[in-house]
Amino acid sequence: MVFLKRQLPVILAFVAGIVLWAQFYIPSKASQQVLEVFTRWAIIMSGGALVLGLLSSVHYHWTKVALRKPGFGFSIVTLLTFGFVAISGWFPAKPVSWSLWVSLVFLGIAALLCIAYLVRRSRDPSAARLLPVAGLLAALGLLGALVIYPMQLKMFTTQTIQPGSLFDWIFLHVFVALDATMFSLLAFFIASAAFRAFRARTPEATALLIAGCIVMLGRVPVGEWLGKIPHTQIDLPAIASWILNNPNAAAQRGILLGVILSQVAISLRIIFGIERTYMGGGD
Amino acid sequence: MVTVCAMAACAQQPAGPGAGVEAAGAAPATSPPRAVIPAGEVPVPHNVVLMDRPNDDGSAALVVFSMAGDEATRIGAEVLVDGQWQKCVLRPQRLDVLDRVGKSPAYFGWSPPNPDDRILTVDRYLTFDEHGELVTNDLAAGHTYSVRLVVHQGAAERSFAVGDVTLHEDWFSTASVNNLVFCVVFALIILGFILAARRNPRLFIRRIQGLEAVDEAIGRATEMGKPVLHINGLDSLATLSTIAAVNILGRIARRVANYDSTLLVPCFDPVVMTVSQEVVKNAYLEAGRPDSYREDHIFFLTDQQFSYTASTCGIMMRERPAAIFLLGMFYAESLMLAETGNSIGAIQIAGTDAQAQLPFFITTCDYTLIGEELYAASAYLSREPMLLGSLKGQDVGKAFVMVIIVVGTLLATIGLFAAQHGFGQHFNWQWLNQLITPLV
Amino acid sequence: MRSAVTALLNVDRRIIYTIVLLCVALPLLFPLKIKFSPTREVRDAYDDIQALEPGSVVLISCDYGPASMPETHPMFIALLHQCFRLKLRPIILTLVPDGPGLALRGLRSVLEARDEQGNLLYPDLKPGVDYSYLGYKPGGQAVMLGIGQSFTVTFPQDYAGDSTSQQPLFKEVPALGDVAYIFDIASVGLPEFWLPYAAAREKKPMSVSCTAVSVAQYYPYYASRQFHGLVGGMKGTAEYELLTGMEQILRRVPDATRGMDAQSLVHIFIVLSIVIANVLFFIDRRYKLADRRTG
Repeated sequence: MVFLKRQLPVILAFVAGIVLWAQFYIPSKASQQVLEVFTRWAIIMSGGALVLGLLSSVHYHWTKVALRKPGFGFSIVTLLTFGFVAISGWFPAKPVSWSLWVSLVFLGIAALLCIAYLVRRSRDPSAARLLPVAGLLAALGLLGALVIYPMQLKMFTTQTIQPGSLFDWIFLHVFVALDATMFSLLAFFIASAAFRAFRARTPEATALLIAGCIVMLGRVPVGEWLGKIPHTQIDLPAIASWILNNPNAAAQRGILLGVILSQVAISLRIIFGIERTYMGGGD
Repeated sequence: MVTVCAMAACAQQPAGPGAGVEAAGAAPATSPPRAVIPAGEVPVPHNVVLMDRPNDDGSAALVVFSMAGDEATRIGAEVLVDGQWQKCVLRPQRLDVLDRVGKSPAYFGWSPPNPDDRILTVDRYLTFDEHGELVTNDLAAGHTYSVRLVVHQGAAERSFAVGDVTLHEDWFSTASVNNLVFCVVFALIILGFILAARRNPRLFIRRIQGLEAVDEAIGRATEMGKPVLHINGLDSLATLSTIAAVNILGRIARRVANYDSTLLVPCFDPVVMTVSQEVVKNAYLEAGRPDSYREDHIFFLTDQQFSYTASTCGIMMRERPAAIFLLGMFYAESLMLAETGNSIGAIQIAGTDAQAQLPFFITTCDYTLIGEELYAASAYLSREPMLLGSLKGQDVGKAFVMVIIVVGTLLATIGLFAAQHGFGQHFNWQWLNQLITPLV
Repeated sequence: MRSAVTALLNVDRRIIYTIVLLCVALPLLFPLKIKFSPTREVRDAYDDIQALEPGSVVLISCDYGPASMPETHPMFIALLHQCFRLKLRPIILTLVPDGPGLALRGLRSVLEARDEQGNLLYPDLKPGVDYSYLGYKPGGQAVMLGIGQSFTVTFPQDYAGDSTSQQPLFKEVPALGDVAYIFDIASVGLPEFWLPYAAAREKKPMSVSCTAVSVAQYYPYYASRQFHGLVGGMKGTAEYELLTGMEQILRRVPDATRGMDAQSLVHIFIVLSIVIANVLFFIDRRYKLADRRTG
């Protein structure tokens, strides 16, 4: 067990790292095939990671509901929403099919029978005979709705996620709206942060705020509208462009070079098994 | 192995004015002047060379040629298969969009004699099946192919036999030698410094203000009786900055355990959560406080960016942590998190290699670890030989890059000066080009 | 005076938020129509696409989500109009999970675009022949490497569920090395991966459209010509709309252009607030210095 948890991951990391590193320098056909296999596995594992995230999310909220932890009501909403949106993705935009209507009819009759049972059970013991019939009709309805209907309309394919479908409506009117709204909050945060934090306390801070102001004005139409500096062809957009192409590019390059070298070092440590944080529990 | 068959169907014409090596920052070398092709005539390729493409899997040949053409000149190629000439591309390419020899140092080195010659890659031939559907057939290593160029000038078209080529599979890419050398040397330097650090753990690292403040931040939280909030960033463990953040989490967790304070770690990724739980648990064990460890203090929230941000901001407003660590990969939510933390009066230490987010952290957080300082933080806090040695190795790599930049800038300046004042053209600068040109 | 300075320095954030709200909302209701001209970075991207031959294949990666839609989605639409107008053949894919819905909407809106007479602008365009929409695939760099080897192996089906190996487009362009151009429209850090794993590896020219917050980090790549063009933020997208003539195509002010007035006002407000805050800061510092001198 210790081998599986501690040694095997290190061996796998080493082998994969060395093989893919060597592959970069070997242009042969066999090397290309190795890369193709690794690439396919990487895509498969990325898809698996999505499912893992999904299951973890569901497990977390389910546990919260089961144990009645504080805020479990929100977890119920989360789980119901998750289920509803997932199921909605099964139904295409124009669900015209006889199997769906028949299924809904069966389910409707089953529901009516159940209601009839509930109403009559206290007065008429024989009302219990309605239940098997309701159960049979419900089973047929579910079979039609969840098996025959999807097969007829190519469900579980991207055909169902087309404009006009329920899923697309939810995506556009709920997800897009909420996501865009949250992102829009940044405008307010930036304004308050700028007012609070951009103070010329030091020469560096002064340079930062002057450059920031020039680039902010130079990157919008009003910078051009303000016109050129007298007796020159230079306007704010030109100065902003110079700042971005020269000092900014130089600074970004410096940071990038440092970061990349660090990443190479960490990658080497992971490949050679010196760095094992990714397994948890430190060294 | 390169098999070269050079065939020229017509008399050679003098090559166009050579551009030579372009000095960085100089005006781009002038292209050969466009020819004026009389109507009905088709320009003729000269100095045609057919060769196996170097450093590949034996699936392509290169046709190198010089030609004076205009906007209407298009080049295609055909391969002889079963006695029939088959096209290599459906649409012949314009002459001026073909690669130049001078721009392909991986094949022809840094100072080829005819840099303006064009390269046409021949890597397939097209056929049609019994249904009339197009079938692409790749060339294969070990086979010999006859190739001819097809030159189109407007509606006119003419073929020029080029010759035969045998394709060979290469087992090592000579164009990547400098890359390999740098990788090996860098790896050896890092490993060497790790070994050296094990013998002498007192290697010097300059002060990093943000890391000096970690103890202060945790102490402040303990005194105020408020929790410490640690955010590992919004990415998976596949991102190296997340690994660095989790590494630092272990050090922070040990100090929190020593002070008997509370540590909250809302996670964006379930795998990161699992690893974080292990890391924190071990930290509490090492600090001798296993009973203080609370697994539900390290929890998974959601893997949606703004859902996570909203949730974390809510945690900040409710729990009112006195110290907040924002370490790892961040995106647009960085300012929201940092501003919210600022509004509750927490001391904030941020660290990311996401360059776009650095300005937001610098303006809103008390301390910011910029770029590789995040990666250095783990070494700084733990003083572990492995990490210290690795850091030193990185510094050597950076020093090398800095020297290259300075030398390259000087050489480029000298080159520009030389080009303008006409000296040094007869000197073979190829070795300098190889030294300063970006690694392949 | 001093109390006024202190009060202004500690002004309630909600006042700042209200002013920002007004600066954004009012120009959308009462447009200012401030003129602007394209910058070199955007023009380079536009000119590169213009120079492509009819029939060339352009790979467009829509790596953006709803949050950055205003900055990037109009760019995708303008680019598609330009591609179809020039008879280029785009292959569209996305590497982010919330991208496919938006990319599909954008593609549909362009395919269904009509002129003043109600005729389709781009009739007779067939999927798999004149364009292809491959949808989303997880994996990031792995997908880039995968399409470098084969489109049809990495994406066996397109978004509509049709087999890509049967499509004429992929018979002619089986792998990334056969496309003429790569254009990444991104709100995440994927351009920095498209460059080494796709563009540099297959030696293809590449341009990027990104959000304003991330454009600064791509200038080194633009300066070294690894990115041939750089379309940054809503302003860059508005410039691209200007170059492609989107106002004439859509017969209304294009989306990114419409946002320019609001962005201008907000930027002016932020700059003014910074200036005012610093003036107040220096006045307050003088008061504090005076207090310290008097003990």
